[in-house]
Amino acid sequence: MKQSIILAASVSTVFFPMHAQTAKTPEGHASVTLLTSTSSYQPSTAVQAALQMTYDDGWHGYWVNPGETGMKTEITWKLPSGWTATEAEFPIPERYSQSGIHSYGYHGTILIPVSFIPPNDAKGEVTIEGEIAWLACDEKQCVAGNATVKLTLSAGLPAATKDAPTIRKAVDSLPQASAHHSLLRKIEGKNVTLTVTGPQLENFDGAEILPVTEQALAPSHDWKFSIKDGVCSATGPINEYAEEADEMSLVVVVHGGKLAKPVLLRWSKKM
Amino acid sequence: MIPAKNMFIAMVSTISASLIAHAADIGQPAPDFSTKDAKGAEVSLAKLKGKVVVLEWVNHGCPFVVKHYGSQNMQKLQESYTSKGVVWITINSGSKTSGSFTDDATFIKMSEEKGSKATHLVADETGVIGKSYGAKTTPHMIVITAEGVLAYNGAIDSKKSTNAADIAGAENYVAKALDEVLAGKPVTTSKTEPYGCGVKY
Repeated sequence: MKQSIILAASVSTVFFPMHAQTAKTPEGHASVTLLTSTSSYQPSTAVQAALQMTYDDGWHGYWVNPGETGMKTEITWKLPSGWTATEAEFPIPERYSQSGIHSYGYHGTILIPVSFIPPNDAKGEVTIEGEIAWLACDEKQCVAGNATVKLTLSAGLPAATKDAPTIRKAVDSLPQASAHHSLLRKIEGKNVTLTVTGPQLENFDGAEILPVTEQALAPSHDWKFSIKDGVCSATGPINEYAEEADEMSLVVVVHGGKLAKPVLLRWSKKM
Repeated sequence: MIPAKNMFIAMVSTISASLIAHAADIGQPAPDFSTKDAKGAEVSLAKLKGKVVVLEWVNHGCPFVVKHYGSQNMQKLQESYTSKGVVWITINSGSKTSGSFTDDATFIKMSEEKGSKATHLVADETGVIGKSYGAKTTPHMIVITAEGVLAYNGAIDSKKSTNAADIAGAENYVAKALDEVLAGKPVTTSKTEPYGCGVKY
């Protein structure tokens, strides 16, 4: 029985190959592909996929918070009836500066994990389409790029693709919310102090803080946690465009220091 | 070729080398400048007292600028307000080594082709004017009152995108600020975060 399942899976791979197309627009200075962990799906079981974006040498794209310039990559899915997509999750970006103007983004190749969830009555071969629109810049200019990515999945027992390990690694590298740590946010004048509380604070010492929330923390400041008298905090200028500072919710990702994995921390007045 | 990673490190290392000014402050005198426009005419902010002035940072290769010129949104704004006596100065602060630099003749030609209704075109290749205003993006918009006071500093409108279809549903901050300034009213939204490509100083 076990053998026949393996056989069926491999046969389905042969007869229903995954169609992941690489869409490259030379004028957009990036290429994008929709990768999947499995070439087939079962009803109600999420299919783990990832957008792979590769920027041309010397070019970079932007994070969900692009910083002072640029634009986040927009993703619009066209899904089969009843299917849903989770929010695409962007990896930890680099912070960089050009003429003192600060942005958050990527160069080289990045993976943006996303899952597709079939309905409980899903059947047959399906095609998922995504419209991807991005901005890519080098040190001299910026260009707008867009591409359509497609992925065809067959119905059946999931069979791992060659991309599964790469996607798994990308998922594992994403920031995870910590159930054990809290973020406190205190505004004094034009400065904001972030304090993290919880166990093993020493792991946060020297870790970089990147604001997911736009117009919250000044991007010109090198935001890092440090520990003094047992308190793990970071102080720097508030974003000059921050409005209604008292109400401002804040989501940050923290990475580096001695953290084994990036951590997502959230502050909200409602908490 | 320089590997991309090395170039990023090089870019980060220049942070302290060329910091631009903090965005000019609302309600304070607008930083003065005196220069020649692309046609050789003198442009001095001090001498423009008595006129409402708009500064617009441009780079016609930038997709955000293309959004507002390709849709005629910028030209309509220019036409609408210069006809009311506003002086509109379009500035390119791209350095000579940047992809956005254009010589005066090319700047004039590109602007004419696009039907620009700006009063002056200024090539600020040293970045002096741009940095004094903290111009970060193209476009980046400034409104100065007839008394020479900074009244608006920021984005052209409320929808950060390169898609011209977004213009119709966006709030045009510049038009609103100009209407208020021309009516002698305080500007309700005087500072917003500009969006666009980075100015290529």
